[in-house]
Amino acid sequence: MPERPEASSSSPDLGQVPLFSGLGPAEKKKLRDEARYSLWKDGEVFVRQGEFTLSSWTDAALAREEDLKGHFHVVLSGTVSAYRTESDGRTRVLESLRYGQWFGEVSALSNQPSLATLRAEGPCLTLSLGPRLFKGLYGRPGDFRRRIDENYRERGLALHLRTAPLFRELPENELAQLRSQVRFQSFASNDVIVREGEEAESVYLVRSGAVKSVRALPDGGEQILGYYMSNSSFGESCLATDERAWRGSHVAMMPTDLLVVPRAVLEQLTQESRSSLRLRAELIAAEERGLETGVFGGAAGGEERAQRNAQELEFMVKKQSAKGGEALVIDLERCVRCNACVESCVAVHEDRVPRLSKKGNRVAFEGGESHHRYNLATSCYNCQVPGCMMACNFGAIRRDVQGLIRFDYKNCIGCAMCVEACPYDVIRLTPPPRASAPAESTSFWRRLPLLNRLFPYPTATAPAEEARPTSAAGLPVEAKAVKCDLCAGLPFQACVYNCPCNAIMRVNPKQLFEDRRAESQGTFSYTRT
Amino acid sequence: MSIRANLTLFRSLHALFAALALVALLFALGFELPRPWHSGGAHALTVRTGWAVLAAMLVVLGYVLRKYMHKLRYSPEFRHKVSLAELEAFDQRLNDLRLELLKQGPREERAIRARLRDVTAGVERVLRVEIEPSQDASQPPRLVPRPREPFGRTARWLHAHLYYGLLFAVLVLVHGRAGLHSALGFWLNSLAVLLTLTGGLGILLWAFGPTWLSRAERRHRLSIEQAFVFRRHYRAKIKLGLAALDPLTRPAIAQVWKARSAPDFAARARLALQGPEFSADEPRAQAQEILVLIGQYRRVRAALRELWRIRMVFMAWRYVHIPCAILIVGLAALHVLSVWRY
Repeated sequence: MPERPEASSSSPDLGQVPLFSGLGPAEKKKLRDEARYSLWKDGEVFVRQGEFTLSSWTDAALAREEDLKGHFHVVLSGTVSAYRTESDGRTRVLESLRYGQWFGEVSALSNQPSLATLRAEGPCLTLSLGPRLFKGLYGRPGDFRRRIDENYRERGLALHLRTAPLFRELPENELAQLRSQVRFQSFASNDVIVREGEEAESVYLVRSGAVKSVRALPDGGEQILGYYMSNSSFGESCLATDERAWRGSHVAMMPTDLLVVPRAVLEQLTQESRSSLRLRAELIAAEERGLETGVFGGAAGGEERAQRNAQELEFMVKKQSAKGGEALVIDLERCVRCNACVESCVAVHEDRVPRLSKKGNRVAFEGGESHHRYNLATSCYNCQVPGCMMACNFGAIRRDVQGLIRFDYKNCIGCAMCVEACPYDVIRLTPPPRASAPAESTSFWRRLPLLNRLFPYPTATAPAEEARPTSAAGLPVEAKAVKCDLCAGLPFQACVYNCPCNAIMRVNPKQLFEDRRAESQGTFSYTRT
Repeated sequence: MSIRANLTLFRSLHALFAALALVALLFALGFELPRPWHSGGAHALTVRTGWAVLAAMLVVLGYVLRKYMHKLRYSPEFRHKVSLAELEAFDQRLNDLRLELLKQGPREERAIRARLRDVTAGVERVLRVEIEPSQDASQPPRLVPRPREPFGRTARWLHAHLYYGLLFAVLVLVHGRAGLHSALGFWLNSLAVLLTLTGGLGILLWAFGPTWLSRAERRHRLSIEQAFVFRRHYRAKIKLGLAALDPLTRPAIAQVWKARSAPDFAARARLALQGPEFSADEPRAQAQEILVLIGQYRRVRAALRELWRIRMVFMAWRYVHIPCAILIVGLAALHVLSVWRY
């Protein structure tokens, strides 16, 4: 467990650290105020390979080990080793980091799983910067950003290339050859990277940010073909022999940094490597084409089936019902509208605000039905590209190790950026938690139905008189963003658990459609509610 | 053609258990079936059925208790809550185990279970990990964490409430020999019959009502929840709109707002717009906007009335069932106390 040094006099002067030497006085002050020193014992692990970013500070005085994962760390004394286990099970040491060197920039920039396991070799002291602080410093052009980028080209790039499926098997010398010729490109939000129909000339690796691939539809709309976030790649089709045109336009969804590997560079590799790359590229391209035939249908089986798959894909993706994981589905043939689901959702949350929303897509399978059968409620889909997390500048939204999106209320100030960024209206704002909740609020009589009216709450204190709540960073809290948290930590999911009619369930939408496909003869209709 | 209803309400092991319990009880009584036309009877029969009635009543009340304990946060499950940090540490351990299985290949289920005991340490009260065999024999099984749901879902408790409730009603009649000669006997037997009838009706309505409501919602292109929200929203907007109108034009539009029927609304709206105060473009446009809102409000209100009526039909039985249940519990308690005392 890391400990924070007691006296600031024992802390090294940050201006002496080469990485920070170019920072201005205001930035240095911010760094002193917000960064944390951490002492690590021999063998302690900072972050494991494959772990998602965890939260920023939960305790201002003492940093806990789990709070530091996913941060940007600068080594101030001692040694930190980076290990990576490959898919074949072999583990190798990538490098050893000493005074002034750093790690964690990819995770801090993109909230993506760590590419390697970082472990302390003997006692060491690090300075840890939370994602918000790091993004703030990195976002301004200057020495700090330049050093990070240069270092990345020297150290991180090889690792990044190694994680891309296309380059995974390349020998070390050829990977080094690629490294020297890779181009860095940055795109602003909504910039078009490549256009549909153009010939693919390069392979792109996402270093940070997010990219979507979209195809224009005849009706003027667009169909999403895929998302690419950090550590993923696109454009492998440029190596394929038959079909080199982009199947969709690729658009940056936020400020995005890409690595560009031109086809000409790949053509310089040895004949054996080129053949291997081409074979791999064709496999990846075939896989992508297969996905386009339908997320629920697998391989194409005739025009009718392809059309049905396209229709389902259209509904589930464009109409905002499936982004992976399980959907919250209300069976309208069973739901008696008793509201037990909402009441139980209220019961499990301390703030008495329900997270469940019955808004969603109502689906009718047209097998002689005149009513809607299911309501695919708008519950958090834990998106592959979570707009809310990308929009949050306060480190209040993060992914947990399961990939679920979690809110950290200690950091939330209620700025509503996540509410605007969520395309599915899943997040709502509620009044901030009161700094001094009245003790009577939990009394027995106030919880009883009807009788509670005889025991009214005392008149609310005027907001001006009450101390305003603040976040962990000391910022005033205007509101609190809430969404379904799957009743985390409790032995049940309240809405499912307390439905008296078995009407509400969490199911894989794919499974739902497959089960109903036979009797509905593949057709369905829907209404957005 | 399949029946569009919630038939799961009629498929329950509790129905079987209740039937078996009844048969067992009758068997235990040595087929000394009561004769309703005879008052009095064997003392043993009365005592045995009395205990059975009490037991069935407690089981039936369990559903209500379970529901309210959860709603009021008195359920012990809430004390099982683990912190997010513990949950994430568990996720990490589980991922490590998955990785290990992937590397080392399939293992015996017993060995995996032994490992899972370590993995779930600290969170075992809130979740369990199910081992699902993989379709491909060369692949390790899937490890899927599921919430523990210690008391079982409310739906199961409803089944128990339903079928042991039926058993309870039969037992009350057996216990009281369907006698109506005493005041208490009259009330207890009558309430038992009433509860059975309203409960039976309620279950039928709960089975078929949702489809009926859903069909009406689809026809109106509006869910009942939406209708509630829209009605409030339109009403607020109309009030704001009326307040923003010129005092000269407001009374005419306010008259339209009070219209009772659709033809009345149309006639009043036409009449209002013909007034001299609406001859200028601006007040006319303002008035038309509010009239559109009033029209939308009326449509939503009409839809809500129909949807609410349907919902009331399949929920109204509770207004008889619940007071009767409270009354029978009170009377039964009185009966038990008086028997115990005298």
